[in-house]
Amino acid sequence: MGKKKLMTVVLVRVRGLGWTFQKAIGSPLHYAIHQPTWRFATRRRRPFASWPEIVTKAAWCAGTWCGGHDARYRQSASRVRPCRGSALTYLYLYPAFELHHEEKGGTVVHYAFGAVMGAGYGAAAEVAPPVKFARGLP
Amino acid sequence: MYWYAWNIYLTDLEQPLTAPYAKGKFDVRIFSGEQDRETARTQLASVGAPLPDNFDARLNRGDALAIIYRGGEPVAFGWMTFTGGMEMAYGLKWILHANEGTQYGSFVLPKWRAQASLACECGAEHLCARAWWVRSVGSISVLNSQSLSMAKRWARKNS
Repeated sequence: MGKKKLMTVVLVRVRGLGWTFQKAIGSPLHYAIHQPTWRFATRRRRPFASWPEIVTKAAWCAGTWCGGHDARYRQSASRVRPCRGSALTYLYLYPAFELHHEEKGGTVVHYAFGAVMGAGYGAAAEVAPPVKFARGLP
Repeated sequence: MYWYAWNIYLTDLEQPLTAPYAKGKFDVRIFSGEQDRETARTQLASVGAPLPDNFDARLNRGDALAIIYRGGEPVAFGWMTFTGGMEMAYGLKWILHANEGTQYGSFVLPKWRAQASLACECGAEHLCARAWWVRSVGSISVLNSQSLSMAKRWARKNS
């Protein structure tokens, strides 16, 4: 029975900041992309492979026949073959992309709200100086 | 600052099972499900390790317990789960699907550690994986030189 090393996973936690760094070294990207076992879930459920890496790999193997991604759920005694990419790769990754965008969206909304409120206060102060009473506190 | 580093290994169930390199003959018993609950509890206690707090939860979710014996004496044990969500550290969790399993909680009694019974146990876990026909994956800390050595020997033996 063969035992094969797939990758090394490094996890660093900076205690004071509550910041965690994670990296997979040597991960075969076709595993990272096609076989969810090799993707770990973090609290934010981001995969280890960075998005540029995944997109580059997906583009590289686009159009290669892979026999269907559902093969990974159907396999029994048949050989577990590495599944090459195809146009389906993007479909498979799409929900993850959306999640990523949602996370970014939260940050955008946060800063956009602050900017709009600041601009609104500035404009109101110019038009109606009494708004500045009590340093703008409501 | 705290850090962890693991090597992630895959066991290929396609290849024929080879004998572990442990010295001497070890027997393996696998416990899982409701029917084995009390036996597993008793046998685990006989190894001398404290019973895990979530022992019942582990069996309820379908985990398997492999215990290694040498001449009737339990010398080691290890768990295998087929359910995702097991935490490695700091919120980092495994995602496992229907045909995948991972090992955890391996323990060898100190006096048996030189006998390479962990290798035997590793074989037991793989037997387990084969019984359920799942792909077995596992993590070994890069500081655990003994287990890393075992994994390398398995890899070399089957190359």
